[in-house]
Amino acid sequence: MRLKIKKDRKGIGGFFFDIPVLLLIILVITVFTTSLYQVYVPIQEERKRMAQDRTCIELKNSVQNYQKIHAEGNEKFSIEKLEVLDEERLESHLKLGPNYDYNISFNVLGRDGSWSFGEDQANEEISEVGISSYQTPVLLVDEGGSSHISRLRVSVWRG
Amino acid sequence: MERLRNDNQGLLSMIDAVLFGIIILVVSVLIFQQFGGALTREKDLESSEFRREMVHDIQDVALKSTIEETGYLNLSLNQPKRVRLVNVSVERAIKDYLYLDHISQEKHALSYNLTNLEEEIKQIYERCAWDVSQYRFALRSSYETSELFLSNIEGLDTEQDIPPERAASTVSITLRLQRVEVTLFIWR
Repeated sequence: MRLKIKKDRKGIGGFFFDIPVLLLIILVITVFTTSLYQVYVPIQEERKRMAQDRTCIELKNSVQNYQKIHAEGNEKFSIEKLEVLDEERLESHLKLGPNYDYNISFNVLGRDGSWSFGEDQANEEISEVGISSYQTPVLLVDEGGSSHISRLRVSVWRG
Repeated sequence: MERLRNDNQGLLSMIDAVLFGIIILVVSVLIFQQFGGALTREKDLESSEFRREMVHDIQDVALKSTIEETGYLNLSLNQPKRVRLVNVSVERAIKDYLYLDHISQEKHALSYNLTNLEEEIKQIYERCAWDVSQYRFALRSSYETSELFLSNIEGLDTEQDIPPERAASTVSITLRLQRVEVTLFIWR
């Protein structure tokens, strides 16, 4: 709608009439900017978190595909090879980005036996919320050839 | 001098400001809905990807796991005879269960108690799904007239009872030259 400006005094309110209008506009803009910020920041945080979760899954897949810790002739993990695993070689296979720290642990269910690689989470000053973690069952084969259901836990966080 | 009238004809700017406020409010609601909806969809997609990955891992490991000792009772003879199975894979145990259940239904002279075999299969899946990852599970497989349905939830007897927010993994195995599907469902 286009308003035609007439040459009369009907629209003149004076400076004091403009103050509530200005206040209202300032209030609206402030509320809008604040609420936009309140929404934008958590969304960005959540996106970062989701990217970190995806990195965690990729890391888990890399560990599962790392042939050097597999038992001969099958896809099960060898306890013997885990015992002598060189952490630097594992790290070079994982190809994790420089922004991330990680921890990989294997725990045999119902009996002794655990192996951990990477950073120790207990030493890091990170909240549980900042860690992406994935736990999956794997099979570990001992020297006698028996296989044991174990837990593979992969954790990733921003270093 | 003209006297100023006491009416609201000069408050057009106030109406503009209120209009501006309303437009901003509508735009904000639309933006929040758009962002919020997209984020919720992304999160749902991610959690279903997580579950899908998990169900494949659990199914893969469970089927390759070994049962150290199990067995079943052959009730077809005068004296019930326990048949021992040592170091059998879960895949083999499922095949044995399905086949023995089927032939006992086909030939009335044959009868087997397969409770122990069924329990051992369930325990392996329970260790993989619940003990490691805290997922509830149900397993379904069928061959000819026999059907195997297992779950770590009491009273869950059919696929219809499984919650809709589940992930499933189906693996095909071969039994007597026939393709048999083993489907695992997991949910929280």
